[in-house]
Amino acid sequence: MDQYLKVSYPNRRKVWVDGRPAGWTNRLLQLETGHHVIGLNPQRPDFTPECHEIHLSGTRADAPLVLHFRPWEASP
Amino acid sequence: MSRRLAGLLCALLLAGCASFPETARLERIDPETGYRYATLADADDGEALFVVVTFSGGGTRAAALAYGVLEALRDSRVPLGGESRNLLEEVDILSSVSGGSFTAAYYALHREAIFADDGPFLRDFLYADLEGRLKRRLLNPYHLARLASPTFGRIDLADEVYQATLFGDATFADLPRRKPFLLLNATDMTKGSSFAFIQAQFDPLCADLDGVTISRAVAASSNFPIAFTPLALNAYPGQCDYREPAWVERGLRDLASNPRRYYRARGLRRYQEPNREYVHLLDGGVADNLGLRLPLTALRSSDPPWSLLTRLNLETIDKLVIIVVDARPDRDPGYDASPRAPGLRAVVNQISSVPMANYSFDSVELLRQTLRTRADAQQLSARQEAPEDTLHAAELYRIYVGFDQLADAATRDYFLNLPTSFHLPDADVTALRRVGRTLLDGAPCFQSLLSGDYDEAACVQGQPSEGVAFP
Repeated sequence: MDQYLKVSYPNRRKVWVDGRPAGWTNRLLQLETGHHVIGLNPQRPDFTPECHEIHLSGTRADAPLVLHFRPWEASP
Repeated sequence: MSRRLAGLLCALLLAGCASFPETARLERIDPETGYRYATLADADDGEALFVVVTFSGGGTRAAALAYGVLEALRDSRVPLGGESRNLLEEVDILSSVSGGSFTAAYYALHREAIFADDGPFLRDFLYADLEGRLKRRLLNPYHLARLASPTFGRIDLADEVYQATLFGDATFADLPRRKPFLLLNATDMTKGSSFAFIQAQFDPLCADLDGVTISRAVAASSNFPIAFTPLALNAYPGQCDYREPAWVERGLRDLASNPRRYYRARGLRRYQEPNREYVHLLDGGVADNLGLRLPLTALRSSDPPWSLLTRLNLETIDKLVIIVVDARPDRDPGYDASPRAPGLRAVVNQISSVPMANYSFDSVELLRQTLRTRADAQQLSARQEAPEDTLHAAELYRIYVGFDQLADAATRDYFLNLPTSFHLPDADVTALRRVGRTLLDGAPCFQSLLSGDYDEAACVQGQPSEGVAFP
């Protein structure tokens, strides 16, 4: 029932899982099987996408799910 | 004479109007107040060494064993960051059930005063006849009249005895807002699940835990079915602008892939039903006689507000220590020596105790599996080349204190056959205190913790052992 996730972002910052800080970007995280909303700090919304809604299952420590965020850049 | 008789009748009539103490309504949920892990002054301090201690049920047998373990922790020092720390002061979570809740609650409230030789805990509880005191109060005509009320039961009388004997009128507002975080566990009679006396549990009920007495929580936690009546709390769902945590909505979709999470989510959602005006509580042992299930959930899930898994992911924990103190008995009732069918009382006794013991065994095994899975994943990920592909490598310590660990068969049988009661002979209480200390000190994983030399084989895998000698 244990699942593994990596959240990719250029800098180290906190990963939010289901509305609470629950780990760091660019580090392997262990989570519970099931539906989760993964994001970064919503009070500092300088990233995109806003969040990933996932169903986490079938991962291993050496084969985690990888999600990507990138800095939000305003259109010129 | 007739005036005295009339006075007596009046007193009895008034007594018949007795009711349980009302739980205050919470006007508004405030995550910054109330008895929560996050509101402890030292919530985020010193988590590199994170210590969870659980005390099982089992009347005075469990309370005395737990006390012996507390004494051993008080006298132990552990190396951390170049310093030597007192282990008792490093305890972060203290989770308890039934008899173990007396020791846990008294320590959380009064700290070092629990160790005073002539203090109330030893004099008025551990070495006293609490059971006799409960019976005398129950048989008093005035209190018998109070029991005629449908909203005042034997457990409310027990609450008054615990208040007068040990806890006074202290409430959760009086608990020091520093670690250890106390989890007094009861069982929700309707849902059959653990019910902890923490504000996060009271939030969906819109009830204020700060006004609840410690004695009442201990009474709920040690509310042995049939001997006592269920203990009632008031609930005011929908009256405090409660917002359920975000994980609940997700968890309700997890029935197929993660039923444990689904049922946790459903349980929390059900507390918000508008017709749920009361919660009726039984002994915590009915749902979990070790006090281990909530810490296990916190170890496996990021959902609880004080999640251990989240602390591992945030890399705040370097050493996670879980000490399980289990006063489980193993008495041979002698049924098999006779062809006669055991009577109704024997059957009821077995029905109420056997599932509890089996479930406790499974909880300890689940803890072992959970830590082993984590250790294996840490090792597997450590083989990856990039640091970002590795899990935070924490040292994991699982320490089990139970009578089964004793090497000598006769000594083991002596402790396994001690009855579940709130009165034991002084010699038994003293022996239980000593064996608690001996079992903890004799655990190879505990010695590994004290030495600073991590022994994963002893702490996670489990090694064959000849048992602990008890002088």
